[in-house]
Amino acid sequence: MTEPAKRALVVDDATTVRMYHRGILEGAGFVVEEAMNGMEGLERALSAAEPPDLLLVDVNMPRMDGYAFLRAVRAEPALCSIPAVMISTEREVADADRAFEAGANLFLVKPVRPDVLGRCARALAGAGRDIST
Amino acid sequence: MALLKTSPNGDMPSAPVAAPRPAALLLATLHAGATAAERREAALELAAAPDAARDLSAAPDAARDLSAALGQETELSVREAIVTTLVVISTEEAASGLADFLMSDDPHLRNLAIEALREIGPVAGSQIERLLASSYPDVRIFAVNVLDAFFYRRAQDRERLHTLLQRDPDVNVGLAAVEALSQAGGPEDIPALRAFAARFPEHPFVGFAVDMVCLRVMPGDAR
Amino acid sequence: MSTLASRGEAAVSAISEAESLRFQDFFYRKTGIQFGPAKRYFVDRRLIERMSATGADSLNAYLVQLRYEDAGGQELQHLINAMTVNETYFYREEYQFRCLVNSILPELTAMRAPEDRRPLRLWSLPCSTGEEPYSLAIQLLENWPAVDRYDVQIVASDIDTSVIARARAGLYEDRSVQYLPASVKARYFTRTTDGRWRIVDDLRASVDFGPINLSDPSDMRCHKGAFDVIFCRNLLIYFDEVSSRRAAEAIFDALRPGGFVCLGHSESMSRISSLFTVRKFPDAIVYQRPES
Repeated sequence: MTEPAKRALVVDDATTVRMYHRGILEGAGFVVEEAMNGMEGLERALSAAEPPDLLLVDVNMPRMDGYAFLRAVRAEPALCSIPAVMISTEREVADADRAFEAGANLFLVKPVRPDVLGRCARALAGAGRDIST
Repeated sequence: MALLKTSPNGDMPSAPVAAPRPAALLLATLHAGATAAERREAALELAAAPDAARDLSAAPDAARDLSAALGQETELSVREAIVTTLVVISTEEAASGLADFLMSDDPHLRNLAIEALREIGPVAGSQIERLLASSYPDVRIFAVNVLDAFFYRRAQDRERLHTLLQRDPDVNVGLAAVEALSQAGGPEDIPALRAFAARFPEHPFVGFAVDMVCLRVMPGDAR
Repeated sequence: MSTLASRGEAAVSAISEAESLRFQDFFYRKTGIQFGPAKRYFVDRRLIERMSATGADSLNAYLVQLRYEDAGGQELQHLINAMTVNETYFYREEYQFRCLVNSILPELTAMRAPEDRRPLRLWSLPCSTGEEPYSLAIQLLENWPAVDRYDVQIVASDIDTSVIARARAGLYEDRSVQYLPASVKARYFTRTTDGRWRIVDDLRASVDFGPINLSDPSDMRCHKGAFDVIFCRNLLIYFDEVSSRRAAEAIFDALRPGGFVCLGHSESMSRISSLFTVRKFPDAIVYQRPES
């Protein structure tokens, strides 16, 4: 039996990264929407008919960075409990702390491996369709 | 029909237009203005003078002063106004002050500085060499993010991207260069892209990104 | 910028999928507008037209031109106009007028002290030939229950004085009024002998028309803190990064703290400025100048 597919929002200013994450998440059974910066991400999350089931968020973006995006999301009643994966090049522990303080559930270091991201995404949000991987 | 009650035509109360304040006074207000609104107004007035770019670039301390103010400022609207003025000035001093913030611990300030340097354009190219020499991979990544806005205009910047692809030890620095080339690259960048992919076979994303960009920069009839 | 192709090279007649995606990514970065796969043919055709018009012999050449050699932004303007539908008519993007009446005005008036008798000020910029400011006036009269309790001032401005003259005259073709309900046409328009529609005198007198250049700081200075709501639709999308940065500062300054700005349907502040807070209302997403 299948449920409706889960929705993921990928927020990253790099096209190569958005395409890559899109491919991984679609393979994991998600319907994917994209945004190029935190402000666009917030707009997409707010204007979607149903809020996304998963957020995948880059740190450094113009207009509104990943931390500011997460804080804004956590302040919106409609969005505040959506699981969020923050993805960054930054490796120091302090930055992971900052990610969790802003509201991330998980922090992954770039570049991510497809199997790792797929498993994390499914674990956090669950995929609707029956996938044999 | 109910009428919209309006003030008589032309009776818009307007803010009295004050005499323009000298740059020195405006800079002082930026540092010590009591309210955010005062500081913001001072920053924007600096940019609004008809010869702002010329006058401010003739006062080399102005850019340094503005950068110092930016480093101290916590109010977002004032930060934006200071950046607007630095972008209007667009000198090497302005770019240098902004480039220092790429190392800031404050993500908002860091990203604002990247945006501003991109808007300044080729003049910011003067900063690229020292930024690319940084031992911090993130700073080198940000340098590529800035370069992306104007590398096509300067042959040495394209060369720099190729060098990063061929040699930089950090995979994310090369990936930033791949992204830059996805926007404005051409067939002449393919060899450097392939060299980068060969250096990092253990990262699936590298192969994906390079393949995607090589396909995009090939002219249609060359397939 | 080169004019029509005169180099004897074959014009580009087809775009590969990878190239189309590359172009669409550029367009999305610049404007925030995305086209689905269904629009591929439309996008490619328009793109080829623009490449031909500028003498670009490859997509790469065209993108380089757009990114690095389009100083006045003329080609970007042609491109955006080619890719988007851009006509003006009454009640265009009506969902924003609903948002104004259902959400924005109630919030603005709820915040006011009872003794605050300042008028509510709305700004239509650019007003073009007047459809937008007149639509605002009509919407308030027709749909805002509190319209009699407040003084409302509608200011309408444009850089082009000839469109302002036409707006003041208030004369329109069938095409402009086609989406108006018959009752609205009956109440606010009279028919001229040549079949055009003329805005009734009372309504024409309630809009304050005047010229303005958003990019001129001295022009904008007198409007500091003046407005509660600004409609700035389908203008900023044409600006380059530095000009739109400065325009956003000017709009911020022209708003009262807590005031709102509405952009066009395909526009987003995410491509323009971080100064404003995103506000989601049932009918629309709009942007707000922070209170303090």
